Amino acid sequence: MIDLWPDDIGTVVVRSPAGILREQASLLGEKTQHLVEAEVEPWMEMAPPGFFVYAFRLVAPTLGHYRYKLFTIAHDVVLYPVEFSVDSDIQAEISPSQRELGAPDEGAFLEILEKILGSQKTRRVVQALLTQAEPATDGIPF
Amino acid sequence: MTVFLFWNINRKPLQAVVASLARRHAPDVILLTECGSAPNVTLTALNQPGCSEYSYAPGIGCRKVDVFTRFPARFIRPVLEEERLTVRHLSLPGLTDILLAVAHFPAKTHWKEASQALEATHLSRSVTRAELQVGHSRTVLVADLNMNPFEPGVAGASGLHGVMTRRIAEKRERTVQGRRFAFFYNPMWSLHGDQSPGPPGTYYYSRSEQVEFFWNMFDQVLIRPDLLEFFSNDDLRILDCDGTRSLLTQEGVPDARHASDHLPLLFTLRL
Repeated sequence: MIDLWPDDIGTVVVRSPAGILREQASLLGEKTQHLVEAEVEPWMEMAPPGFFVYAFRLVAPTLGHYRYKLFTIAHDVVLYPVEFSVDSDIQAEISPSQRELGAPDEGAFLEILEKILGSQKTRRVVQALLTQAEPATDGIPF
Repeated sequence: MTVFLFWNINRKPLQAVVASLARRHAPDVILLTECGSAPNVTLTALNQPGCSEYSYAPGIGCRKVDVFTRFPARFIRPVLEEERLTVRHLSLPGLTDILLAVAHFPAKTHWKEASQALEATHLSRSVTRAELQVGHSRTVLVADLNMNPFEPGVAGASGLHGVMTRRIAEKRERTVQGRRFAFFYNPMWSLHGDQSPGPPGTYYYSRSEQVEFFWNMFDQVLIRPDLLEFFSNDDLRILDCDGTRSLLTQEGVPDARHASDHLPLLFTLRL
């Protein structure tokens, strides 16, 4: 049998937006002693056919797993462009003149994501959660 | 009995009217949206000498809804929030615990009906997420939805799936295109129009176009089947008076000048 597929067909060269979000989500816990974490939740049943939607939430495990949705992203099967749907406070801070927040490629996606994660609203919510969260203990004093 | 008051106060300094409503109806939980004043201003008005003492129960990420309670805030902790939604776990000692979801939806002046309908699917998903988190679906959703009960975002299966009769809601869910969708019971259907014991809606506007409903039921209380045993339709009212002064004009529509363009909702859950 002749294999007509190119050798590199199985090689992934583009990172998916959801994959990037999961990477960033995993980093937050390390920065906050896991008092505040982040999760990426697929919302496929909310999406039109052929579209992928993900919600990015902050989670406070020691506050009854309180969750706050910072933003959602949506894209189709070719990954880019990606549409962001963000908190209006964040939108006003990072992109006051634009009604839509979209990233045509990975570079633009990372740029917008960095702005969202560093926004005043994000900082305020994380700080509020850290202030109220208490480290989990197992009752052993040493 | 746990009494709830919900009101969109249209960014007006209505703390005195809110306080008057509180004196008249003694709500245990006061839920305000479009608050123009800081919470401490409302709290000062509520806690006048001789009145019940209220506490402010702040959210963490959601600043669009102000919650005041006659019990400590620790009994109404937020479990899931978004910009326009706060879901609280109401767990009072000795009483059945519930989820109280409070939302303020984007208005038709900013969003098309189709956008509102799509956003309602997200709201529904978030409420379901909160229910998974606490392990039950004894949920009441109170909101200025800026949609009527018959609009797709409220009635649609992928939206809030609010149905007009208990009998239908008690079936708990239905399957559409192979997917299951849980019901809410929407008692607001029964309060729309002339048969309502109170005002025929919660928001009034009149435009010069072919289809105009005039009275809209934008402010709604929706109840999951698991909470229906604690709710009586007789315990849900649209208020048109704060106890001393009417909230309506002489024409019988919300007095947006002296009060709000929305009317308040009062309801009770016998937890």
